[in-house]
Amino acid sequence: MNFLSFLKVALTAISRNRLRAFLTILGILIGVGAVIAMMAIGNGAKAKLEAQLNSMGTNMLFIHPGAITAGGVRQWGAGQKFYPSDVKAVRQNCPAVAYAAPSIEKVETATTGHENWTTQIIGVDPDYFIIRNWNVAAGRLITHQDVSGGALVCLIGQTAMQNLFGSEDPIGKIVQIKDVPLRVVGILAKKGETPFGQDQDDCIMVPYTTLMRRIIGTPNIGGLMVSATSSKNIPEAEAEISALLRQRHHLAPWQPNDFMVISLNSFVQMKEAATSVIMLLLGSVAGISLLVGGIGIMNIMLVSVTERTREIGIRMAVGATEQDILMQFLIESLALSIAGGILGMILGSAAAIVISKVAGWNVVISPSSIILAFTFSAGIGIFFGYYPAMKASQLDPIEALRYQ
Amino acid sequence: MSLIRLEEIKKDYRLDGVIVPALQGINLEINQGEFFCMMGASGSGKSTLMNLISCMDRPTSGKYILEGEDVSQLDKNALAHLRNKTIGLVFQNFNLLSSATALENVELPLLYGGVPAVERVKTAKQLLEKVGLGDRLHHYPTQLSGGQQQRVAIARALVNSPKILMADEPTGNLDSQTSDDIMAMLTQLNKDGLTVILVTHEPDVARYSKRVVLMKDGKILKEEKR
Repeated sequence: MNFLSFLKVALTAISRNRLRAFLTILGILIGVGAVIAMMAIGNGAKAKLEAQLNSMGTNMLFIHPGAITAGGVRQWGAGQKFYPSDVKAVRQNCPAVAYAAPSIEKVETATTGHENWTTQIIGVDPDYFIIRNWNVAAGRLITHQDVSGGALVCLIGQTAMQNLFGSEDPIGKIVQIKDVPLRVVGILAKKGETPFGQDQDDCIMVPYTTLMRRIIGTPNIGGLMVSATSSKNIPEAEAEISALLRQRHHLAPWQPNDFMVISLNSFVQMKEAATSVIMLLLGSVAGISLLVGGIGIMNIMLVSVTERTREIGIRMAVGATEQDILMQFLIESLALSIAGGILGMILGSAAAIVISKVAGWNVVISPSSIILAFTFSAGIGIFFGYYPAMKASQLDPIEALRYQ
Repeated sequence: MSLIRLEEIKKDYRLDGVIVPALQGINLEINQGEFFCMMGASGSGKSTLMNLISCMDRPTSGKYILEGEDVSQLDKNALAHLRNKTIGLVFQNFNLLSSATALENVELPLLYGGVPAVERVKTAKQLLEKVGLGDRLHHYPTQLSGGQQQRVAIARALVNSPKILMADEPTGNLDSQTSDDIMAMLTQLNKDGLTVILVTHEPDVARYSKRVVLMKDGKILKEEKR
């Protein structure tokens, strides 16, 4: 007996009990639906995170003054301050570091003749643009000359530009920050949000020397922003910077670091940990549902075998082998579980699309999740269908024929 | 050479640990083309013997030679194959699949014999026409009378051109007119060369047969030839 004949027999048997078949596959349907939705949401979140991280820059490390404990009180950022000379030292002494830039920011109100807007003022040098993989949409970048001369120039982010200039072309115009007049020399390319929800386009960039001396009035910088030569070299860069800074800060071996080196990867891990909790939750719902669904199939198949004992007897009497009966029932349970799997895929995909529309989450339905769900439901059909099918095939034809 | 030869066939059943002998040494030969009848009261062992001859069961001891081959200790698959090809079975309660049409019921042995679909339908149709049901191909058993159902069952039993047709009380659920029709059909099949083995407890039915064996307590009590 060939597969198609078996399939026909199985489908006939299923179609005789449509409602029962539907109720039986409900568990598989929900389980597979949950798997599909879960993977769509997870993949979507991951894709979004990756895009955001790429917008921030690649292989990045941040160095901040660390927390120090004084009199039992732990003070954030109270460690030794950083100076522009630290940037130079890192550039010269750390081979795993490709680029290094000072990191200094201040929230200030910028004004034009008729508008004002409170925004992030970022102090930069040319390396900053390389590390952040950022360019101007119009005009020019801040140059080494601007930095060394403390030039009164600035670049304007697109959000800040809209609020200060509306639809006017800002290049060549003057922005005042704390009474310092700065000439706009370029418009920054659009970047979008960081993974932490911050609008990266709401900023004005000035040479860090200008920010330090003219706007804030400080000899030190907030920290360092560094990119490693490759993602593989991030730990190495971290070690080199730590060693260098410990030496520059004259720390004894028993003293803890008074600074922090944070790589972007640690943020990624944080963010991924949060998504993985959601994934785990949905995954366990899916897993339990699939298990319960599988048991449901097994239960109904056992009922079906009992109900059809005489049918089995008749089939055996006219020459069906054990193998034939086994295959018949196995294919029936396989058909049930695959039907559940297919309906679950449709349901899960629909749910994912609805979620993306309603909650505004990014969802990605990947072919691999479809294949996984299909394989899984087929596996469940075979696993939970085997015992009932085995039971059917082991029936004694004489007994089976006598069954009423 | 005889078609069926039974040598010292014994069959025991185990009921709650007690061994109950159902057949106690049966010796029997049935030749090609015979119309053979087994009679006996219930509990005489005739059903057990029928199950053994029809390859539904295996004897506890003894030899069953079918077409010159010892089949008494074959495995289940080999027995299923013999039921499919060599022996056709007809039952008192017809034993048709209620969810299948007359045609599908007759196709069943061909399906398990691995016959392709097109040929299956063709052969099954021929058989149903032969038993006079050419106009009932797509009827379900519940839409057919008892006599028609039994004719579907006979068509099914014959569809793989078996050597032996084994009928267990084939007229037990039929009125006397229909019974006569069915017995006439079996007689005609026998005349055409088919070996027919009949199991019954009705002397009216047994009279169609030329050789009747009477069973009692798991033994052959007497044999009559007509």
